[in-house]
Amino acid sequence: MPLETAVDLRLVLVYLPPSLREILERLPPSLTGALEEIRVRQGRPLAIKTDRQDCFLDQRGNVTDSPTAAYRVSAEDLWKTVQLISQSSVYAFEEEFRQGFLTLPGGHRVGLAGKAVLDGGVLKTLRDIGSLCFRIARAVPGAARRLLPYLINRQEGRPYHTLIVSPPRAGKTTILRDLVRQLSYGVDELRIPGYSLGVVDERGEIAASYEGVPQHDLGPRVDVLDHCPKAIGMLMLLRSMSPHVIATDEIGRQQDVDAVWEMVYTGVSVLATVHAGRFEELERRPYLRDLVAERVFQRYIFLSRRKGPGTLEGIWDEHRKLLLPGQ
Amino acid sequence: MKGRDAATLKLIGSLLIICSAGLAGLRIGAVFSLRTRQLRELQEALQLLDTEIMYGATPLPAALRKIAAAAGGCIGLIFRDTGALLGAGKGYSAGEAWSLALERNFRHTALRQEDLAILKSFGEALGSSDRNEQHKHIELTAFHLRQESDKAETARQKNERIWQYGGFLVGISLVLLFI
Repeated sequence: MPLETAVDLRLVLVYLPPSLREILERLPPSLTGALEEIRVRQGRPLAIKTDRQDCFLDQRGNVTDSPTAAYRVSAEDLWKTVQLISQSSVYAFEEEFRQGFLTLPGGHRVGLAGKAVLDGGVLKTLRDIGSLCFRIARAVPGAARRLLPYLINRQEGRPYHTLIVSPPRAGKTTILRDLVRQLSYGVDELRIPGYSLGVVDERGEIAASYEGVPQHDLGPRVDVLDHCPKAIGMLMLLRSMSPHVIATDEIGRQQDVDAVWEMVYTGVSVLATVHAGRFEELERRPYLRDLVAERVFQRYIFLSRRKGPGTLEGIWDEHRKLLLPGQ
Repeated sequence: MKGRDAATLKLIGSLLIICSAGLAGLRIGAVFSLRTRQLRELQEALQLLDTEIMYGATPLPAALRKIAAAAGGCIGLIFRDTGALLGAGKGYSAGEAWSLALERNFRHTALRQEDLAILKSFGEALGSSDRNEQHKHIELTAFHLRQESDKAETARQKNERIWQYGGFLVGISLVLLFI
């Protein structure tokens, strides 16, 4: 289940100034197909990352390992890129600048780093942006299909509380997104009806909403609370939209875990993701430890990058019984 | 008969001279009032932009579309073209798009070089900072435009009438000279 699909790179390239766009347009299809990141750092070489390699690009779009031969990103390149990603409206993205990233149409993300401006010890915004990281989003419809039969509680007619566990960049959010999509559409062959889902998209990664519209197809029965803190958002959705399932990304802080505790006894199924590599690591995380020990989550999906992003390591139940072995 | 023809021709010629001189005068006079009107329209458009930025946090392409629709005329065209260039996906920054839109539309306006200088410097910082800074920037531009507007109004009061009547008077004097 390697998570690779063709992405229309032009959707990303329009957010780069002509100087950088021309270089990236010359990349061979073999590289554009596997592109994960484009890194634009002022005064430093233009870099890309694919699922297999980190490399620099020279003026003619050739891959090079030598930083000196690579194209150096000028201050103007970077300034123009910031203008383009913000539609020349930095003021309209103050919250995104504070969070350190913004979402582009198509669900692609741009991470920002620069000078932090503090106000009373609280981060007010970023200015003098010096680095940008374009992360190419790849929705992979069908990625979660073979996992679905293990995630439905047939007796109760609803999905199990499920936790997707993986290290960063191993396809957690992609799998979560496809699970949400499949549950929302329903799958006739598997006799899974369509469920209504609430998505609390604190980081804007699951739905990747752009001006209020989800950029990824999440199916017909989904309500998205965009950029809302998880703890507040889960309770809000529960009261306001009465979903069967609530999905959220990257739980870990105490308030997130508290909110999960509140959810599990309300008849709503919880779908969540978390950063960890193994069960043992989960058990060492301060707040998650209790969730595991109390067997709150009934299904654990472990992913890794062993054979590329989205490699399934296995599905376990709350008693740590292996239900579906990995690849 | 010949004498009568010549007299009619002279009469028509004289009327033509008086009318054209008068119309030219009226046109020049109108430029003065047109400039004050356009400077006022610009200030109103900037006021709208300020509201969109401060309270709506509307991204520039959408904000510019709204302003273009509200402002109309030559001034609306400057905002409309800036928005269209920004949305064209050709890699223009707001400053570049604004400057191009000014270049395209300036000659159709009654504005002067000193107004152009204010508008050009407005474009340089357009959209590239947070809300408070954009607000200050718009206020400053509006202040400069208001100063020009006041000067233009004084010039209009002084010159509009002179040109309106002056054109006809010059026409009549020319006719008298020729006769």
